[in-house]
Amino acid sequence: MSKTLTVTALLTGVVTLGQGVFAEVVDQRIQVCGGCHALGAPAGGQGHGVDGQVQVEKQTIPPIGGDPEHLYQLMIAMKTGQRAVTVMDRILRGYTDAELKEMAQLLGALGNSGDPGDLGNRGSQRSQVK
Amino acid sequence: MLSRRRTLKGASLGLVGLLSGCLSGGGVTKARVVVAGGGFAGATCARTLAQLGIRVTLVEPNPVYTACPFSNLVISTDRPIQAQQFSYAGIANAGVEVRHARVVGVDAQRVQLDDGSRLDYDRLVLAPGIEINWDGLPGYDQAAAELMPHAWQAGAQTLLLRRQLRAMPDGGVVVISVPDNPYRCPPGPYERASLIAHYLKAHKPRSKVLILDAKDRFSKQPLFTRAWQEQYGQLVEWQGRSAGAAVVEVDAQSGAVLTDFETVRGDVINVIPPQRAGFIAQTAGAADNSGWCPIQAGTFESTRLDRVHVLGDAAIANAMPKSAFSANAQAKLCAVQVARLLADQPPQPAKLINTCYSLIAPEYGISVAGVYTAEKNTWRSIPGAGGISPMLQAPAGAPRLEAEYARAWYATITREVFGG
Repeated sequence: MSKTLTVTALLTGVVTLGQGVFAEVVDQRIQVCGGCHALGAPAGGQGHGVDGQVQVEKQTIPPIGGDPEHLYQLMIAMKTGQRAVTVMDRILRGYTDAELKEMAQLLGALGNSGDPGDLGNRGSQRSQVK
Repeated sequence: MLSRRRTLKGASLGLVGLLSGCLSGGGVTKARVVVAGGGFAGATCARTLAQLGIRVTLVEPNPVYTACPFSNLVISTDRPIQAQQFSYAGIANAGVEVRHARVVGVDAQRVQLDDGSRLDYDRLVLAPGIEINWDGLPGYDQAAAELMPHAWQAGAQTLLLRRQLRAMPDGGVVVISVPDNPYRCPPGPYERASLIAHYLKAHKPRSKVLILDAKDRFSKQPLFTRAWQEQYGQLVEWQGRSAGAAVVEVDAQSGAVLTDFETVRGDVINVIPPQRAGFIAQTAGAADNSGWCPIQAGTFESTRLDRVHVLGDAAIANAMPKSAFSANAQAKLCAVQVARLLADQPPQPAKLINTCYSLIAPEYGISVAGVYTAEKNTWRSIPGAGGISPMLQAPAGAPRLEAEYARAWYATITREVFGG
């Protein structure tokens, strides 16, 4: 990836394909975070059932966003066990610190206002959805 | 830009305008991707492709999707089946052409639908999930499944098992037959046993869940085993292959399953049978002798069919388990790779994650996680990462938190895939 494209990706958090930039699709390095965390959108919590029924489920997994440096420090703290979590330590150990720094940049650029806070050890608190 | 090679391929497919509709400069393309199967893998992939500006048609026979994750709660609690069900309206709103039909044939250029129409494709994504291997367990056929539900494809089968459980008298035995690997949702049978025990403990405490397993080891085994002892005592009994427990035949009429050593009767018998990649993967020739579909790890391209990708439960993704989380993760990456391949860009490497929660009880969750990298054409688990919830030194309240996270995961993923 050229330097220019890297900068573009970092600024927008979107996939870059040659000259084409595809809005709304997050970079493949952080796509997988969206399996649990809302990315670049308010946190979930609303199901979409048939027959017009809307299911509302408790949403305790915070959306990810905010300051990249804060995000990075948070991830390192969870990875090293300084911060008690349920599952994120096991996941973060699969990434190098350099990869996490890159991911924090991409996640931070998504523009989500939610602060992940203590990922995993404050389940009784609901993440605030703007 | 599209290369000459690509353009010639396009011309040979009878597609015009590929060159002008290339992916550069705004992401608009005339190239068409067909996705067969609208579960967590296919629906995610179609939606992501649409977001990438690619013309995509999702072919799915069912107008309503009934999700498997959390369906064990439908069996064992008052959770309604509607909580598992999602329409395709959100996906259509996201720019995907949704066709409610069945793919009945695949050739190198197009797919044949059961409504008689054909769809040309530049790339085809097969995400058919599983089908029951009706030849895999003697005595277990479609008629038998109406007496001994598998409930491994959510919907009517889930409700049948739920009704049987509720009709069973106190003191009854629920038998769960578990197949050898690989199969959809490795920890699912044990979550089911746990939640059925939860129901029995409250409503029919003289009853029992007997798990007859074709394996000696299973997913999250230390966590399940400990939790069963703690929560349910004698209510749950597990027997493995070494104890001769593998079910080798069923007799649906007499309500019994046979192992090599004995005939086991149950008041409710849940047979989770051997499985294989869904019908269209078999018909298209994407599956090998194992019944599952070999792929190039990094791009999910079939090793057997050109310009065809296979995702989710149907694919052989090595260390990645057959889970909704894996399917969703694979599908998002696959969509990016398909877009790049259509634009003659090299595929991009990316690590993937799986996180699977299981419920011991509605407020007691456990998890297994993994981080995976595509190396040497294989999805490998990254050493030192992943694993099961800690047995010791878990944060206070972790089981309750993991149950909450399980529900939150379901809310997020179903919103991401089917929302809008």
